[in-house]
Amino acid sequence: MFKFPYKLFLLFFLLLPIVPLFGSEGLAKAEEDIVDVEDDEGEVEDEEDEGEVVEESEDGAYPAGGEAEDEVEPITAHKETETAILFDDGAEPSVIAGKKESGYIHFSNTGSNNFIITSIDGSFRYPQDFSYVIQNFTVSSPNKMIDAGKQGSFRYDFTPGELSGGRSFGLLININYKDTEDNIYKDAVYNQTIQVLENEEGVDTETFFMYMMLLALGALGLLGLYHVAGSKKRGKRINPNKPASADSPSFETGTANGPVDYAWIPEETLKAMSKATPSPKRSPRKRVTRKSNEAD
Amino acid sequence: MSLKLITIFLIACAGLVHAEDGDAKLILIKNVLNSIITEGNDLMVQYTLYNIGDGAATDVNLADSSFHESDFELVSGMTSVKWERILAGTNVSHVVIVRPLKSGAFNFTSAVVQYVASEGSDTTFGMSNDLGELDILSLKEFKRIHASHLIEWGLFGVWCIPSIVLPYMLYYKSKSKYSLKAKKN
Repeated sequence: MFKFPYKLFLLFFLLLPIVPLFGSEGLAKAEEDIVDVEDDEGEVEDEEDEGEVVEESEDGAYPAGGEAEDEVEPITAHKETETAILFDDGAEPSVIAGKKESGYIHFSNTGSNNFIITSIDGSFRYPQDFSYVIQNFTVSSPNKMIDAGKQGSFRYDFTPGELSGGRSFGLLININYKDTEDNIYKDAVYNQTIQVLENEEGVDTETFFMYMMLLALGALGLLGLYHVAGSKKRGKRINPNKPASADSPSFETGTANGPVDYAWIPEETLKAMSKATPSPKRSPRKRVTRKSNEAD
Repeated sequence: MSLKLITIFLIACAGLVHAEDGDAKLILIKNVLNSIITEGNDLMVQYTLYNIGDGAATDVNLADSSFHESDFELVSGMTSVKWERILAGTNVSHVVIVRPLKSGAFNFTSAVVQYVASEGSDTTFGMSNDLGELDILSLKEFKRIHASHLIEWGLFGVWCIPSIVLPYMLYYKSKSKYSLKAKKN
């Protein structure tokens, strides 16, 4: 039988992680992010502690593209439009991590052009630097035409990620629209730093399992104590030859040390047993010959 | 002297009262309250009007003409509602219950609100949010999800019987053959 070279395989797998070290491509590296710091937005004057909400009022547009693209004109809002947003809890949203929050956007077309609202997008940004996106929310595409002089309402639902609880983020909600000549416009409907509250409900499963684990550990501890206490009691050495008593229970020794009581065996069987005194210590060959004699 | 003060005070009060007459701005949100829309079962649609402006909106008319007679049967509520006045910073809501008559996808379009934003101004026209295309399940599909399926479970039990009874019969046969007979005399 060919022996499977387990040891060889073990050695091979142990040495395998060392191989990537000899190639620079094999390792995972983190590259330094080149962060565009914008001067006119995202400025924080005074921040004592992380939990404080920093009020940053933005009037009108948020230029897209950042400062790296100076040649391209930033996308701004159209002058003859007005936008406003309202959340379930008022002008400021009280957002809970993992729970859906709805924003109701009001779009007022005060000019003479027709506008088509193409999309509404939202995102969480780093509070100190609004160009760094932490989480993007699903884009809603109403593709709705708002005629000149009319108003429209839109609903934007977003769900902050589960892990964002207890932190503050900059919430940015943009409404993208275009006019009949396909000129695109963008308006920041909401652009402020908010505090995301932690989800209290989800904690219940955690606490339940925590208590269960504590109970299990407690039971295990008790079992251990019981075992230790029990073994101490029965720690004395036992002499198998001593008769059984209350202090030292006896060991079972079978028929080695005492007489055997044959009274329960019927008489015929006893006779047969005493006849067949030659023990099977004899060679098997002789046994076979006796049998063949009987068969004749 | 005191008379002058009183007059100044009264004018100031009047000024304050007038300052409240800003423009009203209404957001109309249309919302389906059902989680599943089924043909033949009630469909609840909620309209909420939020006034985020500074003044009260007067002569508010809400109309939703997207539920045609041929496709929906109106069960409760009116699709055209009027409110005299919606104060600044308040909201009102209205629920309409309809019953879909056909199954398949249906495009729920927006409702329309007309109101007067401030004293003497023209009627402002606003549209609600579009709900897009929602699926109306047929009765058969709804039953497939939600019916109690008693017949199916019953039949399942019936088909399970051979797999359980046959081995038991074998066991019973062998046990009765080899177990001790009770009390031989």
